[in-house]
Amino acid sequence: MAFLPRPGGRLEVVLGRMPAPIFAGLAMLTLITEEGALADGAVLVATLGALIASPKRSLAICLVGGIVGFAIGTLIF
Amino acid sequence: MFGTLYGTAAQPLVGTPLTIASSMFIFSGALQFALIGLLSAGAGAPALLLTAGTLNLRHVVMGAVLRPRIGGSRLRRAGLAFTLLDETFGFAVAAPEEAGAERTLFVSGIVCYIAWQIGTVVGVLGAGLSGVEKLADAVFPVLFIGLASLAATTGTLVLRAVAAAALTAAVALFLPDIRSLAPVIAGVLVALPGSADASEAREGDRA
Repeated sequence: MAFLPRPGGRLEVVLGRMPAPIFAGLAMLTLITEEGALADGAVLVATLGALIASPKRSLAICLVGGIVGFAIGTLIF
Repeated sequence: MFGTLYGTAAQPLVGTPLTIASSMFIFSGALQFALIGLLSAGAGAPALLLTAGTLNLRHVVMGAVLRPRIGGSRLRRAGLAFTLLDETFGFAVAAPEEAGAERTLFVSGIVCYIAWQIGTVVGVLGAGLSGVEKLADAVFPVLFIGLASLAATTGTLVLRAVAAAALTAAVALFLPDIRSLAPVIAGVLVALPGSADASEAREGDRA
């Protein structure tokens, strides 16, 4: 960020495509433990809640979906 | 929460001054937890330095993604780079135009920095958070899904995001040594195919 020149052309286009995939990758990474196992059940249900809310394209609604999912997951697991 | 967990884990290993100093000067949760893990396993300086370099490689790509949104002198950008975390990167990319990526990166970075320092000190003082660890684990996937939904403004970007999630899972499962780089590797790979038409990226920028 400090040393790179401001990108242009195809590089800028490709860089502009990266945020959503990187966030999706980060979300996935948090669901897999370092031992290669899946995260706790309540965490998975919270994630499902956020995914269900994601078409609304609102961070607040995703957080609400996640909280509701976590509450349900805690009851189940 | 994570600062407290770090303080609790690090203090018995490296002592109070180094625990607090590491949070003040490194300010990277993933790296600090990794360093503590390596130290507890008896790793030496080369392993610690290699881990630090590898873990922070992803910030090169994140910095490149943010670069078109960040102006000013090299010194100013270097200062802002200190606040670049996975989370602040997300907030900066998703920031509405009027808020500005720079200001969002700076403000969210300062808030995270202060919270991390307070959390570390609380952990060093012996506070336990075992009751809310599970909730803390749920915060990040939910946050990143929310940020992905903001950034995925077109059907193509949604498909790229889904592909990146699948690729990340594959790397995390089959190449666990480079799992911390998996999201960035996947992000780069799925962003490359396609034309150089800027409309898709510009729509993404409006997220």
